Amino acid sequence: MSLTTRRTILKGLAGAGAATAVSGFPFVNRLALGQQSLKLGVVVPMTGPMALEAQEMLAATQIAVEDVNADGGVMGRKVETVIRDSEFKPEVAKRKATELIEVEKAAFLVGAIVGFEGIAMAEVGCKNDVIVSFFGQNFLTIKGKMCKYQFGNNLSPYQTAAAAAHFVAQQKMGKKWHMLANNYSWPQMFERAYSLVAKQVGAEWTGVTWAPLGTRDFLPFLPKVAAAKADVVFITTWAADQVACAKQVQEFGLAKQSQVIHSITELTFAEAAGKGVYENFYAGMPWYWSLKDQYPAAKKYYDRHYALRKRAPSGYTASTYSTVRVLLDTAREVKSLETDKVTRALEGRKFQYLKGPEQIRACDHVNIQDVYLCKGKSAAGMKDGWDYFDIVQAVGGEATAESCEGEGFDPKKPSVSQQI
Amino acid sequence: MNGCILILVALGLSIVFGLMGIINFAHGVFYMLGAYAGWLTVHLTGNFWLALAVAPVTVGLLGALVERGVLKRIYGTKNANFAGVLVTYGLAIMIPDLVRMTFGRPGKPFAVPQVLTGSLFQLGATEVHGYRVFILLVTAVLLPLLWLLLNKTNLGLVIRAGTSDNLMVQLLGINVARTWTITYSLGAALAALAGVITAPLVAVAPEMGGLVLIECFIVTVVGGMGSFLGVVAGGLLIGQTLALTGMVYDVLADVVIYLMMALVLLVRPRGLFGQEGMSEE
Repeated sequence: MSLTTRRTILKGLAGAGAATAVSGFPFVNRLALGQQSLKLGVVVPMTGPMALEAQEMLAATQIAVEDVNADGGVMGRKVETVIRDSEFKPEVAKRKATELIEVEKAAFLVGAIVGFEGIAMAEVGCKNDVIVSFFGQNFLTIKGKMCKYQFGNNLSPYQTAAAAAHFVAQQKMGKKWHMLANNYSWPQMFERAYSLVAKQVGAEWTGVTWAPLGTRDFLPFLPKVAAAKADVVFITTWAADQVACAKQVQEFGLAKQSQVIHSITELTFAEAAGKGVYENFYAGMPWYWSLKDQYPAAKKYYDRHYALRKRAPSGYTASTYSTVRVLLDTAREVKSLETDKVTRALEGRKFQYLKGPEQIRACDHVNIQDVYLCKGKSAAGMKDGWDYFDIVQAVGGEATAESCEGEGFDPKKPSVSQQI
Repeated sequence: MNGCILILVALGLSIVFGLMGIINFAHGVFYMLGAYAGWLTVHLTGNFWLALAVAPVTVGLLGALVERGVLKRIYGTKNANFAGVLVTYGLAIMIPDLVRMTFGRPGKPFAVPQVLTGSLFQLGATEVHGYRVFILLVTAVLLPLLWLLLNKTNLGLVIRAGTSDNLMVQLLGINVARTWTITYSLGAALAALAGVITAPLVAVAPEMGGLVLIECFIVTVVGGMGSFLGVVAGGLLIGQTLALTGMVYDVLADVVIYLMMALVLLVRPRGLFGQEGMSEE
């Protein structure tokens, strides 16, 4: 009896296998795919020092995916996020990205806040021919070398610095510039941009006062900054370093001598520093929540983010939203999940979501967009708990981005996918 | 500022190690909790001076709870020292996450009290500000008091004796368990005080204890485990080295303190002021 049963099962399986072979796997897969959701792999540091930023970005991702699904999803399939924690470790980011591709069969990867996570994810994406788009600053292009499937809609260090420098020149804040920064690869990219723009606009670049990453006490460095007697001091620090630096620069009274400009900041840093600490400082941001008064889509996004997180969204969350949206919208429009096809469609793509018009430049995948130069408010001038800045000016366009030749790309080949 | 903070935090670390033989990885957490306790007090009452008292007292009590509730269970067990490292390391991971869950991830704003803002006088190219002088004064007042506590009181006698030969102190019938609790609590309170006085100048965030702990380990190793004078000398040496190297050639700032530690250990394996005793077991 048992033998008969086993034979019956084996025959059945053989028959099913033969039928599958005759009808062809693609047909079967298409049927299955039509019913399945499309998986968007997300890798962010949900634990560790960037945990809050990660949660904020996950909220932005959720809102973007909801909007894409409301528009019909991608190729008729609903988009589903599969989220993994990088634990703020590159080896974990790499492992989780691999798992998302190999086990979860994610169509695209997004995520990463800091460079080492981005490098790890880009390596996995390139190896597996999967598009990877970053939430953090887009700076993984080194001397014209990059993965052709690598994107990122946040600002690049060059355009962040160049926007601040052009702003200073336009506002006639002075022609002698200096920078105070933590000494590692990211602020070093700002140094290059500031010194190049200084040459372009005829300003004097007096160099950089470097402080080690993780500096608690900036006081020993501030006399050196003051000794440069610069009209403008750019400060390029991040997170806890920026908060400590902002407090101590205010304590030292550097703003009485020079115009202080934080190359880039986030709402959370101003919040951590306290009311009035950024008073009279300028700071660059990819987006600021008060844009909701200018763009209806930004207002809608603000309300939904606030409902989810009970706090005003930061600039990086807006970049996250546009990163996810443009990737999925492009795949929908080209009706394909094929990596090369979507990559080519993303190159040069123009779009507008939560701010002014943006475009992914084909030759280096840098997102040409506005940088918002904001001025810190006094404690008395704040209207509510999130009202740390006023937008003074949007600075953007090709003028703020480094030329592709300058980055080391071949000018005869107009897109990254043609170069690599 | 760095030197003062390092001395205050490292003193607790050194005393705890000297007496209890525990390499206390949770010590940085007490520094962070001090800053949070201070923030909460200022947030609720608006009184910075009250925060200066509340932070060390509450965190000191928490330290006593940790010692009684957790560390006590590993005393006398096999590989107690190793277990101590594991347990305190676990606390150093767990407590910052609890703080994140309770207070949220963004740092907490903590301003310099109005009366201490502004420059007092010019020293070379540097303006010396009121709050910096205040930190110096707090350290300058506390150090002699702590020295008196450790050298001129019965408690101090027991702590010093325990640091030198813990077993002998127990054999003499002294209630070592109570001394350990008090010592651990005192260490936590010192770290908390350092945390609350640093808070107006830095980012009050759950991860703030991590870096200071590493530097304090170097201070205690350079100065000599369990040595009061060693911690003071080590704190000043490391603090000044960090500041001066940072000003001259910042890339070397982190490297130099490790080189200094290696050099001191080569020449004086017990540290600059370390003495032969329990800490070598």
